[in-house]
Amino acid sequence: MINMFHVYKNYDGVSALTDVTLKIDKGEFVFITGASGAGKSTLLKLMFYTERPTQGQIIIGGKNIARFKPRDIPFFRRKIGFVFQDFKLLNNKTVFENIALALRITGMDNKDINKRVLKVLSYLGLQHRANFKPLTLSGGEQQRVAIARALAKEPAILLADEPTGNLDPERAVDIINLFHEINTRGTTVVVATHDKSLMDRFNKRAILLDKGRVAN
Amino acid sequence: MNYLKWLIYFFSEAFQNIRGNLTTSLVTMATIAIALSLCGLFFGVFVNLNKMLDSIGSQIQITAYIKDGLSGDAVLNIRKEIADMREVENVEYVSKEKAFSIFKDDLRGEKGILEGLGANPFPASLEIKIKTMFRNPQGVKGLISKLKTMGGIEDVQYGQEWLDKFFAFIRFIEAFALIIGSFLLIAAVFIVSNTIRLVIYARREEIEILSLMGATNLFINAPFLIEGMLEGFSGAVLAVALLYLTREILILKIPFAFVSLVEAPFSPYYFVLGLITGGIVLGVFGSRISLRKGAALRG
Repeated sequence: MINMFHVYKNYDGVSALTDVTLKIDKGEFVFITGASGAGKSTLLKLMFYTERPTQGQIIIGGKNIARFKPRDIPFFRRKIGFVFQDFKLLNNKTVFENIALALRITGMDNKDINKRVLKVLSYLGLQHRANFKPLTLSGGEQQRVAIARALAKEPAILLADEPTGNLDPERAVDIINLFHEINTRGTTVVVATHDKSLMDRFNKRAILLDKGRVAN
Repeated sequence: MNYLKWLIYFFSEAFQNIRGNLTTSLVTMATIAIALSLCGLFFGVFVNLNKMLDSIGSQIQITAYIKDGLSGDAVLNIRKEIADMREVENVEYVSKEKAFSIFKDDLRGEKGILEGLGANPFPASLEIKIKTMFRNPQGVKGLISKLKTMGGIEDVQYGQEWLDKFFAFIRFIEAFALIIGSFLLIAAVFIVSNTIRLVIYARREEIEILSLMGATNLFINAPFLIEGMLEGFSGAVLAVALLYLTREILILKIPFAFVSLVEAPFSPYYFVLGLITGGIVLGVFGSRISLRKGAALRG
């Protein structure tokens, strides 16, 4: 599903990733781990095409993303769910609208949008929050909304960058449990985290980054 | 159906943008209104001056004096030859006698002056009116040099100094209106683009999120373009109202004789249409500039 070959990423001459080669299979659940600054976020950004590699090849879903034209990018992103550490919710819109927007941009019919949003809200136990604005919710609930939004487009790949970074340990476990469940339904899940205890609880493959290199 | 749904969405987003930045949006509309009003005012003054100058221009008259002692047929031939020239609108013959009687009429009450005059000293002449399209320096001078080479013509008179000043004045008015007009329009575009930039800055997070979720550029940009369009449109409507009000006040305040001068440019509906189109173009163009700069916001 995700293949990287000798990928390098430099920011203004400072190296963030060095010679990264990795393979993540379809339906796999993988942790990306390492100290902060090790390159976890950069790796996810490359997979989501918000950053371009300085060197190397990235193949996602069978497509070499280096060959993308600017107009291909939006359509590529619609197939990938991305959960951000800071949620990136629109605070002036309701929970329902936040999720609906991700579908609206694809040109989906209002009827189908309603169905899809209600389904994903009930899946995440958020039905009663549909008309709330994000800032009136707890951190854990906001993260669930962000996940609901990523799932609403039924992506083949779910990327999550420190999704538990702002949550207390109990909520963090809930969230990873949720990812695990999503994974068992067939979605490839990649979670970047520096939380070792969390990884120990879930016996999944972990890719360890150290100063921008794959260390295991 | 799908397009309609998107259009509704874009418009509702644009209205939200305007509501969210009401003060800035109102300032933009007011600026567009002022810029367009001034342009409209200049256009009105320009059109009116041109009309006035045109009516002054129609008084441009060339007098060709005919040599004494020519036969009636010869005079008729000269008159026909001049009337056939492409620059000439019409030709009027003023006989020696008529010239003398006009002079006498002018001096009525002071007949004593004429007592010393024996024979009629006035030459016969042809009063020539020139066609509108030739009422410029080249046209007038071309015609005069043709007249001067004709046999039977003693002299040609045409108030050269006055004419040159007149043409220079027209050129000055045209250049002045053009410069001020372009300056105002550029200022309006600049202000619209600044407003939209503020809105884009205020909503940069939202733009980033939309882009991350896979929204196309069109989807992201459309509400801003519509916002520019709406602000331009409202500004233009305001400008039309302002100009209308100005005209009404002017008509009330100025002497009746000048009313026709204020009347002309406003009545044609294409003037109003032009202002509104101008407002919309300004708005869209202004937001387009900022969107190009804002494109850097998106990954």
